[in-house]
Amino acid sequence: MRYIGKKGVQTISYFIFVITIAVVSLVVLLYFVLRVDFKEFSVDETCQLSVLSRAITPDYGKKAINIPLKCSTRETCVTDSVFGKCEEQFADGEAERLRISGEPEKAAKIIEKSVADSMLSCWKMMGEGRVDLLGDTLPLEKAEPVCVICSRIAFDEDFKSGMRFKEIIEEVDINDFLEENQAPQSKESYLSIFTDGAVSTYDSFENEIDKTENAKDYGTDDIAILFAQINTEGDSLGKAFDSALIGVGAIIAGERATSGFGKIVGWTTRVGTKATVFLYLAEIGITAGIAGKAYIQSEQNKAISASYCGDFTGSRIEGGDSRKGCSIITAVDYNKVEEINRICSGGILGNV
Amino acid sequence: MNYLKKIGKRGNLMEEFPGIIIFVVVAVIFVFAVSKVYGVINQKESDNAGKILDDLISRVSDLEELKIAEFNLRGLENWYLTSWSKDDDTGTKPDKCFFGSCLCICKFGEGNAKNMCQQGGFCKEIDIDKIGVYTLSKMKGKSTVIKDEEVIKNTIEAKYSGESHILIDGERAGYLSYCAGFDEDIIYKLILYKEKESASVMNVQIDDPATLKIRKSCLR
Repeated sequence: MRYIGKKGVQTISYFIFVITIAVVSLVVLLYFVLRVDFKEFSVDETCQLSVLSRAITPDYGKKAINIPLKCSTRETCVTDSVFGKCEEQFADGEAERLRISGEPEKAAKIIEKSVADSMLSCWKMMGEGRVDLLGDTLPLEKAEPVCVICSRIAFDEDFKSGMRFKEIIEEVDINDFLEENQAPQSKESYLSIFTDGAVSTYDSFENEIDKTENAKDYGTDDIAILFAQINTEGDSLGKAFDSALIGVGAIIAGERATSGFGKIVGWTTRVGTKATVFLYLAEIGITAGIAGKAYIQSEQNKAISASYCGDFTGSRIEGGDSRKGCSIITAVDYNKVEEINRICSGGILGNV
Repeated sequence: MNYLKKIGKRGNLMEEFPGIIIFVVVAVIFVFAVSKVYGVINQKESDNAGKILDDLISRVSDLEELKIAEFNLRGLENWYLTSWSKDDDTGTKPDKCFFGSCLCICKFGEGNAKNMCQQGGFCKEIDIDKIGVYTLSKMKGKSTVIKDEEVIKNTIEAKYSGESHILIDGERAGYLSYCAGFDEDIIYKLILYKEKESASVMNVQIDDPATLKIRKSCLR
């Protein structure tokens, strides 16, 4: 008691005052934090959050924590009826309905926009290909690509078997749409965003959803927007790598484009490992041929896809260098299971 | 040391105290928020297993009779699909299946399928008398001689009882086993077939006999 003099009483009152303020603040803040229902995060927000969590976790942490990629496949059912549900593709009946109406040109634009927006949203969610999803480095010859199926766009059976489908689908040209249309909330075209402004035109090739020669079945009824990534010990591949990507038809055609691609391909790798990269990317090219034609070298293989090769942001290997890799986003035929599994030989990440 | 000296002086603790309190409050909120966010991104693998099972059950239930359907399913590494029919008298049926037919998704583990499904699996009843889940492993090079449609129909007609070798012209061409295991997180193409009171689900895979990897067992 001898310590509690006049000044001591003032000190205790002061502490009580501060603690009371702190407790009240804590209670008020916790009240607001608790009110935020984290389960109400949208599918995209949850996915983005998990991508970022994986990206910022150091390698030793990744092994210990194993943060899962919480990305769910977004389902869209393209239909011309009010009740179309694409039950054959989506048994859960939870697919978002994209109703097609009007003239074939207008209907085709709706489909094109849906595919383009899905690709863009996936590309953004995955950190525009610059974020390391794997967090592990293997020599290129052993590296296996992993994938995320961001969305699936399916055609309802009744719509697909109707007469209008043929008219509409003949008008669909996704490459054209990506090249000529501004992306939402941007002054750039979709293509320009995918290529970081390095490419503005696809040149004159076509890639339509389907124009099979016999046109009997009109190709796929289920398009998947697939994001694939491979990472490796960085080194050089030089022009050969550019050629490999161009061979796949990731984005561009011709000499002019090669220089454009050079800007995107900011890294290169060993000569001895070229084949692996080429093979992998070529497979994407084949699958990406949702036109139903397995073009390998043809210019028409310029499929609707975009890629990034280079340093991954914030991901470092021993020695302090940035981890390097390649990311690709493309549209594939979901029915070609064996090809998808071959591309995604490292596994498909994300929610079922 | 300077800091300690400073604190040692009367009055300076009063200056530091609000800062300490604010730090504690912010730290508590930060830890709380981080744990909440982690909870969102770290939902359990079992959620995915449950989704696969629901998807399969609704496809089997909605399937038209005498029609063969195919669908693609995202697998879940280290899990497998299996089933027990209503009149199963093998004594291997998990208790959670009760008295009806059931489809289950279970995690590979120790012991037999009953234990694996009872402890680390999900089972749901399905309104059909006889249900079977199979894997048809075709030997590479002989894959075209086995007709998937014929095999799945025969599973219902009980031509293949239990785990069976499939012989073509007296030679082994494939193997039919009693579950559909997911070795990897890839897409699997499953085939479905249904008759009046029976249904079968079959995964088809091609194995290289020379490099045939030993698959995880889901023995009864």
